[in-house]
Amino acid sequence: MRRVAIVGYAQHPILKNAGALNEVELIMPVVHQLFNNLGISQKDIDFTCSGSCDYLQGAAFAFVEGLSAIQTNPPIKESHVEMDAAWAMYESMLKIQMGDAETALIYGLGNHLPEIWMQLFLYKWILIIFLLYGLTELV
Amino acid sequence: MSAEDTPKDYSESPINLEYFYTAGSATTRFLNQVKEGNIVGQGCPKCKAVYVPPRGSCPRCGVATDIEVPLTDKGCIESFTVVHIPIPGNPIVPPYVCAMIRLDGANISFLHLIQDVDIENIRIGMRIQAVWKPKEEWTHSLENIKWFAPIDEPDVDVATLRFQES
Repeated sequence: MRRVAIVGYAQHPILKNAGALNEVELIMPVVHQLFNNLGISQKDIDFTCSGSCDYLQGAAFAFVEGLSAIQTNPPIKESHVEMDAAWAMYESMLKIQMGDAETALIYGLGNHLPEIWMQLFLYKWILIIFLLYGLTELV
Repeated sequence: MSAEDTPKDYSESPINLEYFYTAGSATTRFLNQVKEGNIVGQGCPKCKAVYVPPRGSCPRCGVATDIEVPLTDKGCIESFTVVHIPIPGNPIVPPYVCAMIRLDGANISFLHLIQDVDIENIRIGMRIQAVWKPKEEWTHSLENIKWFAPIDEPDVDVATLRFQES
């Protein structure tokens, strides 16, 4: 097993109502915060993986639009799981363990179900976790 | 085996779900202008690329697009396809043409209809202009534009529309 470290993370506050923000506007400030903390950019990331339940939200493939929040030119290696950041982390861990990537950017996001009766008892939530795996081989 | 005992291969069970779409603050600014009959794209502060409809970011640079860029409703056909297959619930009768519309001054295109022209005359690079619905029907939607129709201007070489890093 390769040894892997989490070298940074950032999180959006979990809110009952995040206002009228789309995926891009939810993700971008958190990514910028993380990159600024670490003094790196998207160019330092080998693999980007996101997790979100877009079908539940009624916006299938919303993660594709969400990708506009990060710098995707030159083209990046990217994946998405129809689940959450934990599953995105699992896929990224596999990539790193298989030697396909040295670093990974992982994020998960969610929105309340924008269906009216669900709004009555489901909180609008957004949780973005960025885990950057700086890779250190076991000495 | 009676008819009632016969296993069914499938059954139809239509469901209806109503969702609210969160446009986001950037797209909201755009849609508020569309309601007034204006098309206002958003520009990247770094590379100056103009996005319409805007989502609030420049994926090239990974930054927010905070520059408002008023555009005309004229442009050209960047690509198109002729649709022959009817889509259930769609009032438009095939064959009809869907095209990627590149407005003048914009660096991305969006999907819309082309009408008021014989299909065999439609070509990539053709100059077009929006045909708007009556003003009293305008809402927060690009459907305020009924379709795009050709105008009498020389074709554009779409290869020249490639984004040039400034």
